[in-house]
Amino acid sequence: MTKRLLPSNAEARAEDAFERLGTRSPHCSVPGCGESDWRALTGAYLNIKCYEHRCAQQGRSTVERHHPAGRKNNPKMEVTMAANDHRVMDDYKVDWPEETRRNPEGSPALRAAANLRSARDWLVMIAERLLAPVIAWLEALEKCMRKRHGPRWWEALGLPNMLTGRGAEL
Amino acid sequence: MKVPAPIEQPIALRAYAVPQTGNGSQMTTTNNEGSAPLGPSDYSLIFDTETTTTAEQRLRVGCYQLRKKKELVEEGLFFDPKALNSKERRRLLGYARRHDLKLRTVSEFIEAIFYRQAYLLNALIIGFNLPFDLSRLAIKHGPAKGKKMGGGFSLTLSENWPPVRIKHLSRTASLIDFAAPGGQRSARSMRRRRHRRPPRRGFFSDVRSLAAALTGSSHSLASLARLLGTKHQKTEAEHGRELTANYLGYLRNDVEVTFECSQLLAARYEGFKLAATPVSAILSEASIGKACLREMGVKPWRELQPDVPPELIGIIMASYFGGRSEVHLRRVVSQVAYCDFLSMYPTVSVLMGLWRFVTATGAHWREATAETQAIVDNLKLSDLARPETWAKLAVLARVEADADLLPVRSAYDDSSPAYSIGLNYLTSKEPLWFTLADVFVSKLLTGKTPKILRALAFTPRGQQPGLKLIDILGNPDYRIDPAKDDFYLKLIELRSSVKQQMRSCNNESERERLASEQLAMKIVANSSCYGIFVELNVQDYARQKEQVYFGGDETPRTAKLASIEEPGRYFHPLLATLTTGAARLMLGVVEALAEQEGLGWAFCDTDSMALACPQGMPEEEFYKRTKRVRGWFEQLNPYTSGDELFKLEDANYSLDGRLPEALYCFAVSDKRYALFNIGADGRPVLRKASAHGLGHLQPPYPEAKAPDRVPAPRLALLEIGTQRWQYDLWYLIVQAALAGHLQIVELDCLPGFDAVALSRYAATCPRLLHWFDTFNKGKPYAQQVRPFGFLNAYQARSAAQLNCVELDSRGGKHKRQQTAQSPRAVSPFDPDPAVAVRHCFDRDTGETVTPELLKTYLQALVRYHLHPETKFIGGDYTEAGLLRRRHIRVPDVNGIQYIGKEANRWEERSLTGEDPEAQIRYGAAGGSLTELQERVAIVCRKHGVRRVARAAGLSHSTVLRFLAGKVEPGAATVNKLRKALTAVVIG
Ligand SMILES: [Zn+2]
Repeated sequence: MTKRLLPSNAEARAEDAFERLGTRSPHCSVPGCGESDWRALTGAYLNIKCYEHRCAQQGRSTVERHHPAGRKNNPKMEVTMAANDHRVMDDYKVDWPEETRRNPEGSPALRAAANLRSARDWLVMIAERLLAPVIAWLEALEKCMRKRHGPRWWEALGLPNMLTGRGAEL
Repeated sequence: MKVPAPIEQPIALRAYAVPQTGNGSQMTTTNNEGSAPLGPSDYSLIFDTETTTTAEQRLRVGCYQLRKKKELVEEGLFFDPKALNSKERRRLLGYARRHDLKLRTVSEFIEAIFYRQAYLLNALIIGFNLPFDLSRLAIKHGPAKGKKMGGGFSLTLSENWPPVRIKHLSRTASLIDFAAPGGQRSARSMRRRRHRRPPRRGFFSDVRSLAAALTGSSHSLASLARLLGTKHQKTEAEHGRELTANYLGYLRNDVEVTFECSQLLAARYEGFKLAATPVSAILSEASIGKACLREMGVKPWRELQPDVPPELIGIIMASYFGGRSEVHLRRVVSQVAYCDFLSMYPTVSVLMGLWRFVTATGAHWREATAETQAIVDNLKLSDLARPETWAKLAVLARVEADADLLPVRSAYDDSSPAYSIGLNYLTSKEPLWFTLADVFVSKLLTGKTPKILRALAFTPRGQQPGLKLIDILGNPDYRIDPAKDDFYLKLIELRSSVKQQMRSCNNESERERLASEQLAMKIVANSSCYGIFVELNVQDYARQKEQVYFGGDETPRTAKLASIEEPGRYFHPLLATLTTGAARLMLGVVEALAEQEGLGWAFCDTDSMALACPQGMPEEEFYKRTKRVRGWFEQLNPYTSGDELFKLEDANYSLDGRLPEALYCFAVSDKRYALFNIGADGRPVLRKASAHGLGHLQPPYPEAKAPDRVPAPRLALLEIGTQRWQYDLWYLIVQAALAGHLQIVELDCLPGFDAVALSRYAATCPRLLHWFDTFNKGKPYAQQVRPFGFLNAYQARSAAQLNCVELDSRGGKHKRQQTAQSPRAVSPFDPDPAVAVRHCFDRDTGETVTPELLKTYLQALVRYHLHPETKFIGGDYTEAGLLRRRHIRVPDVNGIQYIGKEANRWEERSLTGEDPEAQIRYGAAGGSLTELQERVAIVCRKHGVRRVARAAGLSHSTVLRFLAGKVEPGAATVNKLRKALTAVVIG
């Protein structure tokens, strides 16, 4: 048997959210928004909105203050961040060990761990929310271009192959 | 025809119990418009358990697979440490290591996999006969509560998590869900719960239910795997022995087979393309019909027309009878032409235009007494050859029955409280409601016009908005427009064309595809008409509740019952009563035509009739005449496919070719018959036989031990319709009949017939389990007989036989002898019948029952071939030949019993230990003025004379005088009082 890990708690939270939202493929109903992360969505089927659009609708700010390492661990470290991203970061934090998150004795080791965890979460969020869709988009673009202009479509279009530098002088 | 002298006998009518929830109001709120229901996630948990073979059938070991889509996430074994010895545990550990399986204790499995994975992830929980396996995991149980699950069990698997609730619906279907998390702290934190939303109910898929819904028959895992041709097939193992690697391999294979079956069935269901209904919601064929209507955007009648007066629904229900099934030529061998109607229920629905009712916003009704009487007065057989006549059948008539030939539901058999329906002469002072089709049958067969006191004609209201096109099986070529097409007509024609393609197709795989397509279409057609319109789900409550019900006389009555009939989603009993009524008319027409042609008939069953060749008629002449009978129906054929409407069944043709071959029939009673050819050697070749009255018994011997005296069946047992031992029994019956000794059938040659006759059933509801209270007392939970555990039931000898035994063996007095009541014998499960029977006890008294008090197979079946047909004259044990119709007169006092859904196969069920109280009995009514007086008195006592008078628009003193019997009230007053009762009792 292949050693696969059992599904994470995040999957169970997602399932909870799908039930709350009434669908397994939720997305913000505001045209052009495209937010589809369950962590950042509110409302229910046919009237789902992302936090930012919900905030905007209610006349509240769409940016929020975030303590990446937790208020207890590092009260001074505070950033402003888009409300949707904030929801996502908060949800990641649910998976932190209880000890690290709360750090009741103010242990420097746990504080450092919390800082590192928050940095890692940050990178994960960038990877999942910013990079992943771009990667997917690029791969879709490749398919589309190949179909229209052949396997070496960039040559056919006279575009420089900027990643290898070849053709840059064109 | 000579009408026999009437005998007084109460009849039974169906009643309409007003739902506790009101008329559909609660449905609209739960039906969240437009939202696709959230089905299970991509995860599934497939599991199976193996148990001890002792009474408690305690869990020993189980196996599971957790999958995401089709990919295995984790496969493992779980076990009850207390149920295995150390050697077995070592073997288990070794096996798990060798095969790289996760090994968990049962409580770990429940916590880590069943709840932390399956429950939290909304996985689809899959098993074969899930109620049994789920109940093996339980640490305690109680009665389930609530509207949906009341009457079922609530199983606690873990103190930290919500219990699993199971409510048994039928032999193959159960409702299963998770209870709402308890009020106390549950393991799941309730954080961030801003919106109130319904509790998580989970998703369960019992492969056995799904198989029954999609294949139309009930299966074991082995037979299902064979049918579906899964990669892995079920293996055999001996249960109850020490745990071995082999046995664990068998268990693991079972889970794999279950998974493969569920995949193939899910793919089949996928083929229906009913996206709005997840596979976990498919419990039976009816679920598919409902899913189809939902897919087309058809809204339920109760939702669209919630203001239909309950009095009217009472009238409709009172006119409702099921399919007609009768024997006419009893226990004589006769040559027959066995014919059946092409898709009977869809066909009559087409002829009556019922699809327009299904898609309408409701039904209009109007008084149509005079015109209906005129139609019946002038009715000739030839009128029924015109489709227009059938299009006008949406009429119910209140008949003053005076020796008219009508469906009569009664407890004909004195020894049994079960009701059956027979077409008999009926005389009743109290007017009774029937479908116009039933009135036609009476006119056709007697020539006498029934007197109609009142008739109501129904027409569809305007069309529902929002009907959607449906592509049957997702195929755009099979598109049906519910707004323009007759759904049933299109479907039957599509099926015919697929069948024709199939016949002319040479490609094996293509033919198989077409075969499954036509089967799917058959399921869709049958499941979307008739049954779902009279769906009533019985709910059991812990306490008796007062219920208001209506019969055919528009009078509200109350009954105190612990069971309540709750209408199903598409409940529309008018369509159901019209459909079965028209089907009975079809059979009535066949009967009339047969008589015209000088033919007899041997038996009929819902949509088929075996026309019988009279003594001395040459075979050729017989076929010629039956052909004319069949041909008559072509005038009504609504289909363009060229298929005959009333056609010869395959059994009328030779086994090999398509040549007609003389077919013979031997019928005992309602639904007990065999059809056979006679071979060149004079021996019978069975073509069809019924398992009716046999199905509840465990096979006395396996197929391999079949006696040499009986030649092996010439066609598949599945086609004959019996198990091997049942086939052998029928063979001997037919053989004896052919040899001319009708009374005596030598059953001694059948192996195992001297053993005690055994039925097996499961403890599917709390009432059944209570019989084991004494047995369970003082035992730890794991050693008790628990929900869904298997039990054995036996038949005690009759009182007379018993008394003999008592005198012989003891000679002394015995309690039972005085009560002259046979014990109701049950025992805990044991795989060895000889052992099981030693623990047999009387479920009422808890007293031990010794084996000599129990019937052997031989004793239980020795009179099978003589089974009386009590609904007709001439059907007693020793009688044979032509049965004559009874003449029933409804007694003036309490002549009408109002009942709920008829308990199916009551006799068998009572033998297998199921509760005879399952039949809902609302109460009796005579219909006389005295009865109305009593009713008014009861309501006045409860609500006050003033209130009743006000509701009736009568003066206080008029009501008082009526109560005192001082005035003979006019029809208007009676009517006002009846209406007032409704208003006061309901409002
Ligand atoms: Zn948005």
